[in-house]
Amino acid sequence: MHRRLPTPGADRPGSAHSRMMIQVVVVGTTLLLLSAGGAWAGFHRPAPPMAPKYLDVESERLFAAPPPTPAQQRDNEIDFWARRAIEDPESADALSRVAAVTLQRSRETGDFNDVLRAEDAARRSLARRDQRNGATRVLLASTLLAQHRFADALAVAQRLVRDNPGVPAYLAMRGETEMETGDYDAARATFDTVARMPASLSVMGRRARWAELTGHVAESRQILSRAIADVSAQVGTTPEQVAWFRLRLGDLEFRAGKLRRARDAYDAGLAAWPDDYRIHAALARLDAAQGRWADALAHGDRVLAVQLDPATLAVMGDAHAALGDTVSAAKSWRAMEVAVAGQPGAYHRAWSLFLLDHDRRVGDVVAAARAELETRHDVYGWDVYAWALHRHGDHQAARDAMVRALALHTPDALLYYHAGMIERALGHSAAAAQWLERALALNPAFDASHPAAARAVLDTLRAASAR
Amino acid sequence: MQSRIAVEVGVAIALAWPTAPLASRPVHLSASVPMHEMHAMHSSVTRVSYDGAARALEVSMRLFTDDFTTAVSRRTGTRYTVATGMSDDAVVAYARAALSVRDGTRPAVSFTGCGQRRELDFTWVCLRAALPDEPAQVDVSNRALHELFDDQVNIVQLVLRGRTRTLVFTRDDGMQRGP
Repeated sequence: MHRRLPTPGADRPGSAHSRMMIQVVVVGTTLLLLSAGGAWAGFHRPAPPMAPKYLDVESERLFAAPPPTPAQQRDNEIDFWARRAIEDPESADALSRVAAVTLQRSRETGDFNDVLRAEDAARRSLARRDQRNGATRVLLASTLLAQHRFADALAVAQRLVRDNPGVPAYLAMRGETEMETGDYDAARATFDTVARMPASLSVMGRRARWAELTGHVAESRQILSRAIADVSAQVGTTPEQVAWFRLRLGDLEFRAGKLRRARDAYDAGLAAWPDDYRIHAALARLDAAQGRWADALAHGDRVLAVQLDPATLAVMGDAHAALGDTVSAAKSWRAMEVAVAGQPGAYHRAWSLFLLDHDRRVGDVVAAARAELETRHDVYGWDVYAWALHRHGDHQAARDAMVRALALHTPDALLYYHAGMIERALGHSAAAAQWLERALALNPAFDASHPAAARAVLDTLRAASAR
Repeated sequence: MQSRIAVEVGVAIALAWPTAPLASRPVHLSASVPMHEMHAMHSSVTRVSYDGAARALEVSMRLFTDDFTTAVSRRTGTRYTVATGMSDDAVVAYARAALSVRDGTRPAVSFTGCGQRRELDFTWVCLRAALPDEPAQVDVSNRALHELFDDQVNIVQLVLRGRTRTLVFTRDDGMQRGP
């Protein structure tokens, strides 16, 4: 069945009619050309189910011209609503839809400029209608989160809930910003409230992350599984969104040490959205952790064909090094460092950890991590700061920071590993062994190189205690 | 001629046919899924492959249009803008100067332009060079936009003889070999 143009609704009742007129004209033109005879080479397509019955076979073939790709449809939709926003300077809805679809495009293509465009459209929509425009405020907060403007996102989310109390999706958005900024008391209260409300897709992804962060892995898995069922069944969701929930489940399983389940989840995500560079990046990490270096490089190739992702460059550098290609490894690591150096503001956490683990820009990372904690003091921010201090040689301060990183009892082998290595540097052998054993018990393949380092340290500690 | 008309009519039908199903999606669904962090990077992606039927080495180079326009304007001394676009000659000349491909010990491959295409924020540049046989390996360098940005990273994907290899080029990099 052919799908309809966006219904302009009450805005412009004439538009659908105009569209119909265009079709009539085109049909007429087609018939005219057909009657003139000629070979219609290249039009060997099956007749569409809704082709008008009075047309002959050739015309039906013409009607079956290939439909636009989903990407073209998406771009057409943005253009359509952008035009509508110009035609109707009062319409906040048109701009909101521009923001929504542009934001969706950014998710699919990784185009950062689309995030900025979506933010602009959302702000213009809100300028046209400040009240009863909550969905647009959610979009605005999402664009800000994508730009790592967490404090700004929190302010928007707080306003959203103040204006619309009791809406689960809005509360979940506020909970997400509270979680990201490290305001855990507020996040706990918000998510406790949300948990008593009906769940929706908007809520589930955020609740699942909170559950995992606070040590409730089984609950997080359950929420994500339900979200996957819902997102697959719900009308209007995109393959990218289906893939995203699979990615989240895969990440959860990876961190929980369930590597087979993680791979299954990632593969299912790729089945929904084969070009998802985020899943290819995740698979590159998983392959590297399992020592499947050639596969890690192959997935890395898929990522870089779409986007320059420093974290993937880092993984590919490790893979080249493991395969003995030290030249390519050095090139990849260097490119990663160059790309990161040009970034304003706080470093992405994965980039920071890579730089620290490869003894690059340690002083810069310490400073950047410290600066970020002033506005965003979540557990992973404390973890980066702790690891940076440790690599910088300030082990006592590192331990103090690590205590804060572990405050939520987040089950993450990398956190345990960092804690263990810091304790070891301080000469606290028993505590070091405890943390490192815990890391390996949770996930023996939590990283490409750290598990081996943890085992080596444990062997040394055991040998020392046996003497 | 007839088939050209047919194609144009087919395109007209495709454009006229109702095709915007996503608009019926509730606005908030785009924000149902939490956003991941995103970053603005100075980068380009180039794919080098061999077309056996045409016996030619083919290059498609993807650059950010705004940066590319700045670079081409600077190189040619002509003031191009994103709105006006750039001439094919200017675009191809820049791409040829930035990208160097050598097949073994032979002189650098001499590319000719096969067009440019704009897509959202990107410009794609097409280059082609006649080459009788598919090389097993080539040496490549890509200096595109390095004159503008210290943090420019150029990704080159070589796809030759069924093998793929990704090379990365920062400002100080010379030739690299692959796949």
